[in-house]
Amino acid sequence: MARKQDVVFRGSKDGLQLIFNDKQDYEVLKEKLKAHLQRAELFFQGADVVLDIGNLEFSIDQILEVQNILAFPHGLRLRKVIHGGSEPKPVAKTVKRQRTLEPEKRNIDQRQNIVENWTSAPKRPDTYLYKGTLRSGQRITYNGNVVVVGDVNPGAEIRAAGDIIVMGTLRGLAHAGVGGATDVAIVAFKLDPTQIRIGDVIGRPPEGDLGAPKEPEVARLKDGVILVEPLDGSRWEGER
Amino acid sequence: MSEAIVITSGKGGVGKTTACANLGVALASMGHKVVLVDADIGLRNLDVVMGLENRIVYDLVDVVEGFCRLRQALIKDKRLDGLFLLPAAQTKDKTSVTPDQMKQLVDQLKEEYDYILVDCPAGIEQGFKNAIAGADRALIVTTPEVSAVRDADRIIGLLESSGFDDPGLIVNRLKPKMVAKGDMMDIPDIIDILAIRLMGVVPDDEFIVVSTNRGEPAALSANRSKAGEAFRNIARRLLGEEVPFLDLTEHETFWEKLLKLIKTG
Repeated sequence: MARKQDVVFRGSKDGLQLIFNDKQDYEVLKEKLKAHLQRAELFFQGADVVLDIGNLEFSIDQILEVQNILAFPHGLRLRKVIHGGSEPKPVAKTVKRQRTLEPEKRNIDQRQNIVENWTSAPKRPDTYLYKGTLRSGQRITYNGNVVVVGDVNPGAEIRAAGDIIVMGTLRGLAHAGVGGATDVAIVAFKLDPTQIRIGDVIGRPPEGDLGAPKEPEVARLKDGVILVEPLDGSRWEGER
Repeated sequence: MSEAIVITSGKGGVGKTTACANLGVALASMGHKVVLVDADIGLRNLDVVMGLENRIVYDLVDVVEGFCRLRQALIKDKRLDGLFLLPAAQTKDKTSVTPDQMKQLVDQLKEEYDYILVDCPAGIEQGFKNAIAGADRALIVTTPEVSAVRDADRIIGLLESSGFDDPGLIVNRLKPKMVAKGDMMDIPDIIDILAIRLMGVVPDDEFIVVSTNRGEPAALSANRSKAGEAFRNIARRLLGEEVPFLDLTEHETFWEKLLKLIKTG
């Protein structure tokens, strides 16, 4: 129903997905992306990005340029480029800047060759550490585990492909296993969330005031239901 | 025959969200299909006041961006059958949506609902423009304070230039005792300045604080509060019913009578 946005960021299986409107001109997209990042500021920081360019044809220089816009000063890493609904192609963590001799746009085959030659992202997810209180309207999206040293307030969101650990009170929304992983957990010193999600399962606390939790707890998925239990370090460790 | 009503004020903190929640509850309990739209993107509150915060999965921006279908984002109220909420996004801002997109959204809601109540953010910038985009009618909330009335006047001017011809006025948080002493603006003073149709007067009521914190709007029929009663009356007037206004000088005696009625009944 809606008019297509030129530049859209979206949480996805592979972290943050950046979708370009393929009806739009490259220069316009570039400026919109810059403006978008400026507004989003700190909260995209450190995330992995999958770029969906639809039916656009990007030259290697253009891809490198987008990668640079994402990287500085926001610390976003371009991991993959998706093209025309094809399977995601891995993109290197670091890319040597190379000049191409031809100034005009390359055709799809050439570009895909280059993309495929880049090494793939590491298999083991790394962990994003956030120190401080995550406040209403702030969001961490990360393709890996997230640890917050502080509280997560109502209206704040954490979306992680892996586990989420809150060294404080979790009052907001936490979504572990964004890519569909079900063997992940959400741990908090005080687990008092607005809502928690693990994989595709959504859970919310029952109606009525239950009082604040007294001990650290862990939320995991068991038989398709989110189960919250007191955190027993050895047992949690042992099951994994 | 559905109608989209925007609830706005200019000034913040005068009770737009409270009015929106209570009018929605009142209209739905009269058997109408009602959807509340929180247009305050980035500073959403309506979900909290409605006690539906923990049920949010998708929001208004997700719908507009085509990330989910409209039906997926609507939250059914836990008490009333015909009442739904379309929550705002909290991690976005006002520029995530355009007036055109809001108009499309409201038009789509009109196909299924009798009343669409849009909770407008404070201010006169893009959030305001988005909120009024799809509305047929406007309700202005003010409190009996010079600053709130000044802002309401500004909003009425903006609404008139956008083609809203007959906005209604809700005076919220009136303290009859202070008015009687001459310490607070009187209804006629306010009407004199704003010169629009008075839809209702809501007395200052501590119960609103309690109900807002609990997520149970005061207009739910189980709650016997002055303010809840006032909002139910406004809802009836919105439907075109003639509900007599309470004379200010009668205010206290009326409520005393009501209280007695409750105590004896």
